Amino acid sequence: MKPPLSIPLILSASAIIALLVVPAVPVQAMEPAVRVRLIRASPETGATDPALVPLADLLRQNMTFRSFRLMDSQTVPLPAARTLQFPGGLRLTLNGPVESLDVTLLRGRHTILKTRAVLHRQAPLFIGGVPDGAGGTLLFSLDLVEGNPP
Amino acid sequence: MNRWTELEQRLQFRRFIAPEKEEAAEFWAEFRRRAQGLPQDAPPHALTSFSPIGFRMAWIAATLLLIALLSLPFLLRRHPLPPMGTTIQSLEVFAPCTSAWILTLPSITPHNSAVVIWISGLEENPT
Repeated sequence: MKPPLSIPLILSASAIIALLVVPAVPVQAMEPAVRVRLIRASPETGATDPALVPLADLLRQNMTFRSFRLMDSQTVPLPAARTLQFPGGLRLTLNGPVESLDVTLLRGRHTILKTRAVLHRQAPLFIGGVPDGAGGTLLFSLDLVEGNPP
Repeated sequence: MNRWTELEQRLQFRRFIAPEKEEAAEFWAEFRRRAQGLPQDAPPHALTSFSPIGFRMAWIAATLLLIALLSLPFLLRRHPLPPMGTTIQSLEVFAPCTSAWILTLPSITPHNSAVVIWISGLEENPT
């Protein structure tokens, strides 16, 4: 006895509809967030925060800094439209999605720089060079992390 | 018995076993009964003309689609973004400084790299 053809047809149609609809759900659930960390880098030998070890190794290999201290860390879901406040009167304004993120760095009332970046996972963006007045240099690390669904 | 005699006997035998003639009323009653009964030919059904190979192919296609559907969340979770490096599309520096650099550092992982925007010579405490 032949199986009814309507069953595979219904299965195929359901699968095609699901393929079109279902991918939107995990993509939305996995919308990344950007983690912004303010780091104080120093050319003097000293302790480095364990959370900064991978980044510190990378910076040590390419710059003159030897120790790194985490000053602050904040996470913003993407697409972003936020201004983050940091110690030392520093502010970082984030606007836009991950593929076109506008970043503005301000100190007090003064704008230091504006940039537009495309962020990718495990490829952090560093923005730095701000002297902290005590021999160290402040830099920001922006990297993508798993975000919470909005 | 010659040939013609034999043929005559055969024809008589056939005539004997042939069905008796029906009466007209009985014929039409039988005709109407049959006409109101089951249809003479089943209506053609296009889908039933599929061969067994067609059925198997449809089942295989449906199964492959379901497998692809089930594996999709895993693929999306493992590769949510293409493995490319961070890039800078534009940069404007407003603060007085001696130099500004965009550096691409060697990768942390085999597939990715880090980008540094470095401003040198910034004042410590601008007024």
